[in-house]
Amino acid sequence: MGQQASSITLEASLKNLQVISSFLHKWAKKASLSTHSENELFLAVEEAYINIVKYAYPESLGKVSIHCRIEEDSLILKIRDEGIPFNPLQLSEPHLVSCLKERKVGGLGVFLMRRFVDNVKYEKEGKYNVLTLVKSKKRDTECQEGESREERGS
Amino acid sequence: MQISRKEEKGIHIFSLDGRFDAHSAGDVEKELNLTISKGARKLLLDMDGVEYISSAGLRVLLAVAKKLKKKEGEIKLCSLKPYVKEVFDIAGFTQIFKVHNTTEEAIQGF
Repeated sequence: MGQQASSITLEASLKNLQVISSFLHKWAKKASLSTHSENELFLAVEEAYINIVKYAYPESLGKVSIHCRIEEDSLILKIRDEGIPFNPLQLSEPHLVSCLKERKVGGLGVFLMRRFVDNVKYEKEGKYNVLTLVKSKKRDTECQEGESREERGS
Repeated sequence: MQISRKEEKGIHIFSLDGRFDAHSAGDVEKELNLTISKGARKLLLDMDGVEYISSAGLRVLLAVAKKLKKKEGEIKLCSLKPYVKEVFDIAGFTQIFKVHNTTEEAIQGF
């Protein structure tokens, strides 16, 4: 059994998005996620991370750590910060109106994050805000099998 | 993100290549707004080189579409990759934007 958990700690700034992308890419490969699932997982992480950059540390640079591990059929990420608490699960869903004039700009980040991973959990652990994201490898396999079945059937 | 542009039949075509995320969204927004400020009203975004988009990219597209609408202009998109298409569908963007399969088809649609 190889290394099944690791973490990175970095300054919460926009420029570190690339570092997170590389870190997650390694884990997505290790978990044999498809590129599609990797993109979905990264979107969830990006939305969580950008919320921390903008709202957890609005005036100063703070630290964010991302811990990643593989557990049975899932890739589990814990994103930890010590800024202003924010529970994304308490945010109401945006109104997805199809009229351009009435559609509000923004508010999609948390909505998409919740759609693209299998589980989202927010906890306060002492001074830390901990957001846990779970991406199931099983669903990915089922999707791939479904896709190839569709291809064969078409 | 690499942004290349050309003009064809009065349509400003932008080809995006790279990740349309929180890091690159500002650059794309700046480029599109600059073109609009110079009088462009028909914009086409070729998304063939975009494998990844997040809410930051969607925010830019919606803001630019709203700006153009006010000026009686329009933005169309083409060549969406499957993941980008999924994000568009979930966010309800396929109902807001005119999305075409190819640049040729999109140009015809203006």
